[in-house]
Amino acid sequence: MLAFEASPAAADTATFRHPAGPASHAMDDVYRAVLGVTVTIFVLVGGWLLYSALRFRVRPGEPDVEPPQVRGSFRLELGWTIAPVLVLVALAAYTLDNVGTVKNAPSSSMVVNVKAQQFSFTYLYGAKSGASGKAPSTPSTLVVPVDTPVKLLVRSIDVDHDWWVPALGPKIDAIPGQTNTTWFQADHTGTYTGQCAEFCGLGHATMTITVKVVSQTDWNAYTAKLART
Amino acid sequence: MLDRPTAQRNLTLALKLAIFAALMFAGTLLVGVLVRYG
Amino acid sequence: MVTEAHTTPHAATAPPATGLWSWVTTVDHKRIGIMYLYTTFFFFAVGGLMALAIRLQLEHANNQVVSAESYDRLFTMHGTTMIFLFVIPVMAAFGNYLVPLQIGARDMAFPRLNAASYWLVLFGGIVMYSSFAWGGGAADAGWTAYPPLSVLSPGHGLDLWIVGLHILGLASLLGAINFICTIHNMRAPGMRLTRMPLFTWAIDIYAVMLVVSGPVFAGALTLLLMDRNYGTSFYQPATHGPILYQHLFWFYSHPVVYVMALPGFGMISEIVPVFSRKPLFGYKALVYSLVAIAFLGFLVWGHHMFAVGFSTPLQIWFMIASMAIGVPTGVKIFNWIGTMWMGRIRFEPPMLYAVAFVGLFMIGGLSGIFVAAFPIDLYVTDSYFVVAHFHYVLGTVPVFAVLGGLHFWYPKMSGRMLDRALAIRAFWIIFVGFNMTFFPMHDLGLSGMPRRVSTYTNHAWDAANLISTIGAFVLATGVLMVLWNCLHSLRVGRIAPADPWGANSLEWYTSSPPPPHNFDELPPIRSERPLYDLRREAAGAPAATGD
Repeated sequence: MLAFEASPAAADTATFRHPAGPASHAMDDVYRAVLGVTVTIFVLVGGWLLYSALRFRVRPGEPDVEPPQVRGSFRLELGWTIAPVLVLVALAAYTLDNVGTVKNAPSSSMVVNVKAQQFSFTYLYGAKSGASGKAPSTPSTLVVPVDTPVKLLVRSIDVDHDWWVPALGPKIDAIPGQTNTTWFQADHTGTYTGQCAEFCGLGHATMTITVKVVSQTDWNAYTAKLART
Repeated sequence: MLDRPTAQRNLTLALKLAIFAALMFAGTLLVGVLVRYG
Repeated sequence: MVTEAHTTPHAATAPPATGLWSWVTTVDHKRIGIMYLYTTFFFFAVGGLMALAIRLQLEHANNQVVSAESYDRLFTMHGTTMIFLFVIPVMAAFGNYLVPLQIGARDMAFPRLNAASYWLVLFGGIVMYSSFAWGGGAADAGWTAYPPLSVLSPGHGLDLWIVGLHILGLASLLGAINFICTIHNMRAPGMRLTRMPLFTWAIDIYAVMLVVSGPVFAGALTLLLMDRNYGTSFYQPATHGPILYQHLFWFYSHPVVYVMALPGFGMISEIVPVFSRKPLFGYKALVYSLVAIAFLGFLVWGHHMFAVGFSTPLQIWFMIASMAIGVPTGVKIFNWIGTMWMGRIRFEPPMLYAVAFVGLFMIGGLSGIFVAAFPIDLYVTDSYFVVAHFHYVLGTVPVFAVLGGLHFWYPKMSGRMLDRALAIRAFWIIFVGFNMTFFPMHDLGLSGMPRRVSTYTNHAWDAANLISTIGAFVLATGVLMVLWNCLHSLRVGRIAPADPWGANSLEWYTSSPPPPHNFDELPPIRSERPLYDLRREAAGAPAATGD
């Protein structure tokens, strides 16, 4: 039996708001930026809406006077067109800054081949993995070392699927006929779970993903054992 | 009943739109063929 | 504020024929509009029942109310029904009823084609729903029907689904052609494009979008039908068929969300000025923003495909274009609030719905920024976050904009007033229910719950799912109250005058309901508010200086 380091409890239930590696951290950073901006806009504009609705209500007993029939304001149109553009440009720029971390596997990445099918994901270590051509001891569980970039080459043999472990990084579709690439690096040992995120038929709801992140020591022992089998 | 010029304009515009739609449909099928066999 | 009808009894005009056969054979746009309303609201109820079944199944983890097989059919048909049998044709319902009236015409350009469009909608719905009874069960590959799964789906449910969609697509194409010809050729003297009601503008653009994108969807579906039944392999993996399908599908299906939303925006643009007692603020900006949204809407479809393996440059393009749509959308929201600003607001039921729409649609628009930023989307796509997003942008349209429009135009269509107190109570129940149902889904998605799952095992998701399920039943209750109000008031509602609201556009000039020929005479049309101008002149004020 392999011994895994005890994981912090947070790692098991790690969500987008508890990212567990650089890729998901970068996604989380972009998320927080957008959250800050959108909540601000909601408070300001929603507040303006609510204020208008309450302040300009007709109250019983008020004189029946027609309000000024204002048809528009070019300055306002210009202002409230340009301001959103500036906000969005800023958000886009910040997002673009993080795209590389989210998408690009470092060249030193360990390679794992992911095969998706109805209804499981199975894994095979690629040439750079130290256990080349071998499946993890539990083929539907992916075992990887901590603090190591892992590049996933994802394909499907039947219908569209999607590999998604929220804590670790972006999701990626498994499309038959092509190989898609994604990557992650886990900063902490532990077990990370996810599931298929592209509707793939009757077993879609239970097509789970388990990633076991182990210490370097445990990983060396593990790959040595795999090499012998 | 509509006056002739209006009815005429309606028919002409309707036919143009219908032909456009038919071309878009055929174009889509063509794209399918090209991607599959091209 | 309330004005009497400007129609005089015309000796040679017979009263409208009654009896079922007169409805079956009608070519009167008003009757066709009403038939569309009954049919689409029927499908709204059916789609809603499916939603309730879905919510019952998802109420807690490991539930077994329905089988996975049934669940997959339910979510497929829920989405399909709501989109193709409710929201798209309900806009045609209101468009049919109102556009000729709003432009001062006697009927649509092609009255008989108009009737045919309606019967095709009914027929298409029947064909699609026949799959529940035979053919091996209803379609079960999602309303998106991605191959290879949709090619492999056994039985003929998916084929009936495809054929049903072809029929519905034909109906909407014919309807769109009719609307475009009507709006461009049949406007009354003085009804310049720059004086048209925003709702009519919205229908015009709705129709243009359908003509451009609908045939592409028909093509995509035809290729799928052939792969399923005639041994072709257009969507085979070896030539990237699955990706081809997604491109073709979303090239239509993204614009179609604006097809659905724009007439809703048009309705809001009609309601807010009337109940704020001010002209629409920024009429031209609102028209330009409709056009901008429609145009940009054709450039963003790839944002539904961020996870399929796109190159980074492609993802960046679709992100930028998708964010850009936020600008004209924001312009609309600001102009609606600007209309309310310094007005004298009456919160009649239509205005309650309209104000709620502005606020809730904004939530959906803001959550759209998250999904437009593809690093975030690669987390939230295919999760409940996206389900929340699209219900806040697409669910608010039928629930708030359309119900607001229904309350607004009900007196015109039926000649009766709705029960105001009941309408207000129903509104609040709907408001609470809607938010209870969909707001928790943002959190569920961020917590990792994927969509289209017939069940789940993570108990951390139980609480939010329970709230959502309860909310769905609250929402359904409110909707039932509205439907009851509409049906009951047909018999007992107070008789409605021509213009119960003090409104602005031409439909309010004629009686409630209008005579078959719509107008005996028309007022002068010198601005986008002919009725307002008429009231001012009657009160002795100088003639309006409109556009």
